[in-house]
Amino acid sequence: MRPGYIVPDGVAWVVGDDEDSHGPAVYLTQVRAGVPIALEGTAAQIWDAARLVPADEVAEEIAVATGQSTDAVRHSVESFLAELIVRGLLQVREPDSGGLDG
Amino acid sequence: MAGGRDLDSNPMRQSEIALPAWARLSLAHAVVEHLARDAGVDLLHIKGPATTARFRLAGRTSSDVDVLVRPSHVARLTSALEAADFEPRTGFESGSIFRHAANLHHRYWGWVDVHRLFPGFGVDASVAFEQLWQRRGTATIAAYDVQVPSVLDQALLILLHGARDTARGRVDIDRVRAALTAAELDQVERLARGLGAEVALAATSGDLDRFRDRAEHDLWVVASEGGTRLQEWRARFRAATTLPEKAKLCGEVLLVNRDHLQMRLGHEPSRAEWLRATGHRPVVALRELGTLLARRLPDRRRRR
Repeated sequence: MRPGYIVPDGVAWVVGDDEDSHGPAVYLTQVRAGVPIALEGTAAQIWDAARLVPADEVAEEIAVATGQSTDAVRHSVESFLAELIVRGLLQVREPDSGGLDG
Repeated sequence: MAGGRDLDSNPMRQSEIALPAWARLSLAHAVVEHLARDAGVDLLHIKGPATTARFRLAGRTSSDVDVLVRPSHVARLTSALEAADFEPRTGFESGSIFRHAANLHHRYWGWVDVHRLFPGFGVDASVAFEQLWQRRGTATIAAYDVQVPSVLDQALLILLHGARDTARGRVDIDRVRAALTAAELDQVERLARGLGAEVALAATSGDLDRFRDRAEHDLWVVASEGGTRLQEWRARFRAATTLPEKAKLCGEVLLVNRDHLQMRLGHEPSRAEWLRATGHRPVVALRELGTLLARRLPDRRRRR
């Protein structure tokens, strides 16, 4: 199975519906920390793509979504993914941990 | 990159953010479930996003997390919530005429209503909870699994809640009854009998008269149709079946509840404010008594 990301246990999240005026949004919290976090715009798109597609396709997804080349967005996307991992909002999927969405 | 600029300047907002109400509520259910699990507390999420879509009204949004807690675990839950910065606002004794719920508030997560019993159940609260717990299911709220009553128990809870909600109750009752098959409705009535909830359920179908002799009859008349404070106290007095309960009610009639006064004033009442409100109570009672007598006297004259 190709490397990817999953949402760690203990993270609750909801995806903003299309009626939200400020574009794509994800609202989430680590239930243990109990602090709300909002990802909006591209940040939300990256988090959402990361749980749905293999790791090496995330930058490509964001490039398509933002109308830019994959090379132009790759660095920002990878930096942000690293930050999401540090904050415990995503984790690298272990090879035998099954589906992409945790 | 336009998105990249957003990404670099403000990739995520945290802490003091105003989430949309629906998102806040969903995440709050998950947070409360986590705190309960961590503290070894059995609880069931009721109402709002915990309700099956079959019974939900499109466009209706809840404002608080409602949970029904195993009565012996209530203190443990409130301690866990308070340790997580939920502030107690209204106690069980002052929440409603049924004294069923306490409210806590959190600066991020809003209100939590902790129910130690569900108004309408006639059996002991622990027995009622155990019945619901044995039949419970799981719902996923904010990608987080929470414990909820069975679908038919949810129907019963909505009906019983509707019976005492003079504003929106009729809509809820009609919607749930319409969503149930005849066989399911029979099952809900059977569940109600098992929980001693026949009187409250009768209030949802205009059948209260059948239970005129039951102690809680008047309470459900007032709850479902409304009434003066005097009628409410009278109904509560009738529903209180033991001497200590009746004695406690007598004390409450005379003394103004501090939590209620605080909510009305918007600040903690001073001793002087509380004394003034308590002193005013007999005046209100006399005024209501006068109104009641004025209404009854013409009736009597007509009968003569």
